Amino acid sequence: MSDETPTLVASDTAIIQHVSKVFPSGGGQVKAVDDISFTVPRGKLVVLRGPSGCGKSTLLNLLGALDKPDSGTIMADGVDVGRLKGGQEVDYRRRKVGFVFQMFNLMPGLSAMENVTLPMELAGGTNHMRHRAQTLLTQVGLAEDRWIRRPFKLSGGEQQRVAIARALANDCPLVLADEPTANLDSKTGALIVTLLRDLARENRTVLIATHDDSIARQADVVMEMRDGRLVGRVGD
Amino acid sequence: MRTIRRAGKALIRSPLRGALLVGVLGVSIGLALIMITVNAAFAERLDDIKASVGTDITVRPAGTFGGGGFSIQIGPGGTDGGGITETPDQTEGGDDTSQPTITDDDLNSLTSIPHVSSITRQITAQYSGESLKGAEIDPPPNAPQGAQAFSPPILVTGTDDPSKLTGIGEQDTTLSSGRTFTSDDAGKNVAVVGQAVADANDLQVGDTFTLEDPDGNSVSIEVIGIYTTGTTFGDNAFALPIDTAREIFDRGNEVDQATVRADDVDNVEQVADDVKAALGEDKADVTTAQSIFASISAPLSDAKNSSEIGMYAALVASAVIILFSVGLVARQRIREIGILKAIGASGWNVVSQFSFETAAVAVVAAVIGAAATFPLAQTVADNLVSDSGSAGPQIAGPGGDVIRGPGPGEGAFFIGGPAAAADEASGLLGDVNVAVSADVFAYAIAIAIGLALLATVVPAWYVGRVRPAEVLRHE
Repeated sequence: MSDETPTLVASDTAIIQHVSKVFPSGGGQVKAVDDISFTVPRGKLVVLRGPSGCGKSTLLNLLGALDKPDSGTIMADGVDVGRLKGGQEVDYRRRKVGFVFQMFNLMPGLSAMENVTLPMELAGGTNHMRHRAQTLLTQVGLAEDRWIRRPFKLSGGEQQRVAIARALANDCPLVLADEPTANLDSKTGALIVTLLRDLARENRTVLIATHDDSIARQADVVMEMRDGRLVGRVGD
Repeated sequence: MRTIRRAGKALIRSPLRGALLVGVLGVSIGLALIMITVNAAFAERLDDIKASVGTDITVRPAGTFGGGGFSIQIGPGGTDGGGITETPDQTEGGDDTSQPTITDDDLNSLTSIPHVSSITRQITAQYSGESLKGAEIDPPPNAPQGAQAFSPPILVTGTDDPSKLTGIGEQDTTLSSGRTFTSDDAGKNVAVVGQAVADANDLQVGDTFTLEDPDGNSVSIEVIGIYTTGTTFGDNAFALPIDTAREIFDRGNEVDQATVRADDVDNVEQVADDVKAALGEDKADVTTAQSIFASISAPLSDAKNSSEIGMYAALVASAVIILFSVGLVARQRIREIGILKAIGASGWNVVSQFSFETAAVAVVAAVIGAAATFPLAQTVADNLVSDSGSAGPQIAGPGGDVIRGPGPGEGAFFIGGPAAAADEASGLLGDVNVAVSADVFAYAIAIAIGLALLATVVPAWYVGRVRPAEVLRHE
């Protein structure tokens, strides 16, 4: 890991510097992320675009403290993510990042409402959790009669709306979305992208990993990835 | 509370998985509970037997056998044609000149042994003099044709136990009239007479009868009590205060049998060892009723041991099942663990949820297992006892002799000692009644909690090693 700690300027949510991540593969090694450096401006919709296996998801996982970089520095909202340990890591996941997954990854035993309150419960919870969950579910456009349904009784689009509401539950400044429209039809996917776009307008930073050009067209910043490396950047 | 609610919902989500887990675990917990219950019942019965054995330690001259050697015979055909005849003890070997003896001096040395509460003494003899008739016993139905009735010698016991009828040797003795000895009777010419002797001589309480001493002198004895044992052999006897008996039978300060009583049942073996050490094994045979009962209760002990092994096996099986099942469930739900961690769950959050789930499964399984214990425990106990105890009890007597406890309708020929103990023990062995109490549910809950705690090891281990990115990578 680099000894040089980058300075985060006020206009940036995150800065990634010389980050690498290697995975073992068939007796050898694959560089999923290869010495990448970039900044993520605050309050923007940033798209990481590239083909499958280019390292987009890995980069998102590193930013979300779901995995650790082999080298380099990741600073997010004032936190050195790569150096987090134990409770610090848990706290970072609770308060700094919200994740939206391609497969939605809702808790199957819980209702839509409970899935949204879950991160709040894990973060300590308040008496207003239910009210906030209702607000968020309304915000993402999930019909009220769906709130008590469990995920398997919701459509893919509805599940992704719940997943977005869950990502926002703890009012995290950084939302990471990994292929959020990959399992949705184009119309529903467009609605989801609009939702994410709106989140960025609320001064939240949204980082989306996708190979969907339609999403890239709505982004403030688009970064192109190939074979674990950043090969281009469009936007400020 | 929220964690418990989530755990409950996770269980409800997969009712089949939960039911299977409960079923398998319920069977193993039930088996463990049955074994615990049966084991406790066996232990209780063995304790009953142990308690009934009492704290007596029997001391006899080395090599003598049964309830006391018949050292002296008084009667016609003796050395003076009407006095006494010394006969060898009923021992292997039969050479009474080499037979060790125990005296009052030997017994006095035992009083300093810790935990000895009392020592009582007894001598025994046979009387076949003309002055007192014994019972006439008809030949048994299967005796050879022409067999005639016979009169066995009258058994005489001298004892210094003033208060107990058992002091004269019979376990099932009842006083039919009069009284037994008191301390005031020491050295007096009084007797408690068996019913057969009383009938043969037309004796009542207050009557007197005459014995011939070794010098041919007549000694008048007053009947102060009449007892019955229910058997002709047992009733063909009488008891005298030990000093009186010694004088009549010229026994000096010899003792044929002493009963050393320990102050507590737990000290019996220790006292017996100390008595052996004090007297020396070449001088005295020291036996405890406990060792005899140990032989008798061997089938019960075997059954208890079997149930104990079964109990441990079932507990281990339960532990393995719960570990394996929870491990399997955790493995199946590893993705769920990854998601929970990704959205901010700590390791503790996840482990506690899994623990509550496991605890709920274990408690339900324990209740089912406990319910199964009621109808099955008695059956298992009965089968274990019948498997272990198909052969009748045999008792090793001093010197390795094997004697058999009396069967139904048989008289206890030996006065006191192992045969009487066997009689009592045989009654105790009987059925083992398994009482399934509220304790079973306490055990069940304890097992369930133990298993649930044990089961937390698995999710804790899984959660500790799961990196969310690893399990979410393969979407």
